[in-house]
Amino acid sequence: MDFFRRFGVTLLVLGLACIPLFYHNEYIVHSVLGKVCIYVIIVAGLDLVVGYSGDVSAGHAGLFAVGAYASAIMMWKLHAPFPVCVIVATILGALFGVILGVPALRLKGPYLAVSTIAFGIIIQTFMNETVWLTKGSSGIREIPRLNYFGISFDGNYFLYIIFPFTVLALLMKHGIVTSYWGRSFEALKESPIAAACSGVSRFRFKLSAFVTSAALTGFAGAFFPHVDKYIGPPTFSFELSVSFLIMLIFGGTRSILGNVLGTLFIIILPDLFNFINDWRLAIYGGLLLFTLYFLPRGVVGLLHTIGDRFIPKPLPGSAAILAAENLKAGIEAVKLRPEALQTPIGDSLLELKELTIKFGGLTAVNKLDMVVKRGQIHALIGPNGSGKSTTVNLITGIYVPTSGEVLLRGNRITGAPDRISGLGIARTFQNVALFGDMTVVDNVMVGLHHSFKGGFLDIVLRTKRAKREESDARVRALALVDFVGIGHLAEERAKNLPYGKQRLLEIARALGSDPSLLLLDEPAAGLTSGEIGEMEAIIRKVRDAGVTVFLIEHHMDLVMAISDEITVLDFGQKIAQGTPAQIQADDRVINAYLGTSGTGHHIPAHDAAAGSPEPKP
Amino acid sequence: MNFSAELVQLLFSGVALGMVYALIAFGYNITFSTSRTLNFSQGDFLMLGAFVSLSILGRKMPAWHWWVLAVLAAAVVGAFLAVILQYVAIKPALRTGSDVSWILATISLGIVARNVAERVWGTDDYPITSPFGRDPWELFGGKLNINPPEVMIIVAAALVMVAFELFRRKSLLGKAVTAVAADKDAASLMGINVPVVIAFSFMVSCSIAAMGGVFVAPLTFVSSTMGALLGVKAYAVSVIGGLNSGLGVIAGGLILGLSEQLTARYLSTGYKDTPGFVLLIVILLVKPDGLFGKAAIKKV
Repeated sequence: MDFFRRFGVTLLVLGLACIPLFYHNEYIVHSVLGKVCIYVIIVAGLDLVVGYSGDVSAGHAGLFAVGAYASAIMMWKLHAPFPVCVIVATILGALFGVILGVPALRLKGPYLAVSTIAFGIIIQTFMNETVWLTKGSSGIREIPRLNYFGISFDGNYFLYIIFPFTVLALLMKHGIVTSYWGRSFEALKESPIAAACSGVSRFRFKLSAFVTSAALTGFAGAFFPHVDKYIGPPTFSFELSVSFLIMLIFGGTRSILGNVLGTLFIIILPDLFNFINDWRLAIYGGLLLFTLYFLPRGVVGLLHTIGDRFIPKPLPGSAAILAAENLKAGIEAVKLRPEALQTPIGDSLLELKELTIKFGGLTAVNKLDMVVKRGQIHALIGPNGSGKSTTVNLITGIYVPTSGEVLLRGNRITGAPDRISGLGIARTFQNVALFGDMTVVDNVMVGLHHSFKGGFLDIVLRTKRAKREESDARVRALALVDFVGIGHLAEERAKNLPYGKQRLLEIARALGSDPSLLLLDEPAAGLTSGEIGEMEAIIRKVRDAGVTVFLIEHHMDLVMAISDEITVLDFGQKIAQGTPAQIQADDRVINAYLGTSGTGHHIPAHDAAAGSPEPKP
Repeated sequence: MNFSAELVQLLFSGVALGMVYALIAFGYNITFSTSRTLNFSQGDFLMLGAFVSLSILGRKMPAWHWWVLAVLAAAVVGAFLAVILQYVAIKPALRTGSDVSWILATISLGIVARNVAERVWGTDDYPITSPFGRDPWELFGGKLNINPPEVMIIVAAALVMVAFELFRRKSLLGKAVTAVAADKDAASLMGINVPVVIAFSFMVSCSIAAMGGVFVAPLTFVSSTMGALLGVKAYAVSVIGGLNSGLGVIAGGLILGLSEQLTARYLSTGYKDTPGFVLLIVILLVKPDGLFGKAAIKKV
């Protein structure tokens, strides 16, 4: 299957490469197809930002202009050889990507869109005003001819200059999006917090997507002066930025075929119908709106839908599922880092010292002291709003404490969630936070983020190292999926899983980061009693594998059955700590949380759960 | 004219320009607070408002009451456009649950509006006269000249913003807007019809933009492309002032308006737009929540 696909694509690429030999219409081959080749690179780059990362750039025309002008000016003023121009244009594109991306990508929301639009206008101003450099509104016509090996590449043969690079750019994009980079982009788009707690640096990967995209756009720009042997400011307008977006959305995001089809269609459209020129913008705008709502996956999505109807598809990833079932995925699926074994069982692993956080006037957690010992299941209980989830958010770096400290093996830990994850603390979420559009196994592979050491070049060139890391991670991920008992669902999209399985998947993903300490925030909330039993077994299995478990839970029978130690919070303060038996007998706990049976007498230990304020399913 | 008088006039023009930006940005902040979305085609709605006033006023000096009528008509057209915006762009986009959709949908509505205006009114620039006339008022015995439309802009923009702030604080619907901005779910549980409040906030926001078009028309020309740049500068003002701050936009608007006038006079007209956008990027780098915005606490 894979072989045939590759063979077909190669044949198609070679076939397209023969066009200039048989078809000689200069306008179509040189101008239109040349432009298509250049724009496809840009649209594929834009896909990294819009399709994978979920941000909007409406300033790619500005980046394109940077590349085109850099290349043209170097050829004209410095008589630089064309390949040098291409390299400089790419570097400049990347540089502007950093300048724009660093400020805008720290925030969620429309900030990137706003600042890229502004960037496009600044570039317009510079093109028009710096006459000594850009010749202002008259544009640059002094583009030298392209002659190599005695052949002129100015006519239809220009396609032989750009086409190979278009193919290379698309291969590069394919390499990026099928690697852990692509998964990180998507994970950050779907749930930034969960991605960060899996060790993915939001800033690094959002920026990588944008800078790669900007570099590709600068690269494509370098070729543009040779299309018309002229460049001028009007080409690089805001409308061009919007056109790139329309090409991308109309063709279909997250698909190379979509990038190509969308670009081809939008470029050819005005040539097909004359009347379109007057209403060009309105038609583009209408087309974009139509696509957004009626073809959310673009033309390619439509093709897939039609294709699926006529061509029976093999069961999703059946090979992978078989592999999962053949794995003897017992406790070995859970791995411990070498440093995790340094602490003897029963010694302090995590310590909170006078941990405090204030939100305005409210002290959510107040001078909390606590020790979690290695190898134990330690529960944190307390009424709603007593600061349990806030404590977990403080430990995982989502909140910064007002005062006090968190110590792991005696060392103070601070920093963003992705750093804390790297230290061996993993977590699940009270409100399930999965990467819904990704498959179960890909979710866990995001958890295995730390196991990927290959850099950008490894991914793009698909080195042995990158391939090995990828296949090792997949095997590990399948083993973990199997460990929590959902191996048969490995290739299903996470959002299609029933709620109980989603909670299990969160645990598998958390275990992917090889944690010494696993924080479970209400893992049994919303589960049926049967599922709670399953959850209990899994939590024990995780502990038996050597991972220390810190558990927030309202189901008292579960808490009392599996905990080695319990800490009780009320209004952000610790009111008790001890074994389950001690906690059940504690007056303050009974008053604050467990409740009395009405007579004022202490309830017997085995009935304590009956006093739980949370109704049980 | 001496240097200081010229500077005062320059600053005054900057303030007037800044108030226009502040006014549009004020509209962005209203919808961003209630719906976490804003209209990326606000500048084009402003342009349509200006064309409404052109249709009503013609090019002769209009009488007072005709001008007031033009402002009201623009407000109504703005509210009507908001309904279209809601049904065509915002509501369907929010259903998809991604920021990408609403940003793209509102951008595409803007380019449609621009194209339609171009087909209806052509690509000409139409001058329009303010009801105060075009001769400058001479103050201090001719030492200082003040341009009447600039006075009108400052007064009108301030009136609109104050009126909405009063409405937000005093009226029940205004308080509902504040409640939805603070917490949608809680507001909904208190019996506030959240979709209606959001729709209302868009109507206010778009009306403000369309009225802004009438205010600014005597200073600029009326053309199909007049709004694009104004709209973008107003985003910059929103972000500089803080997208979740109420009146930070005024400070942001004044900073941008003044920097623009000063750059145009003392550096070069061509570069007048640059300092504001550079400032935008610097602010995002140094104080990402804006000069007056508060960092939001995210819940997990």
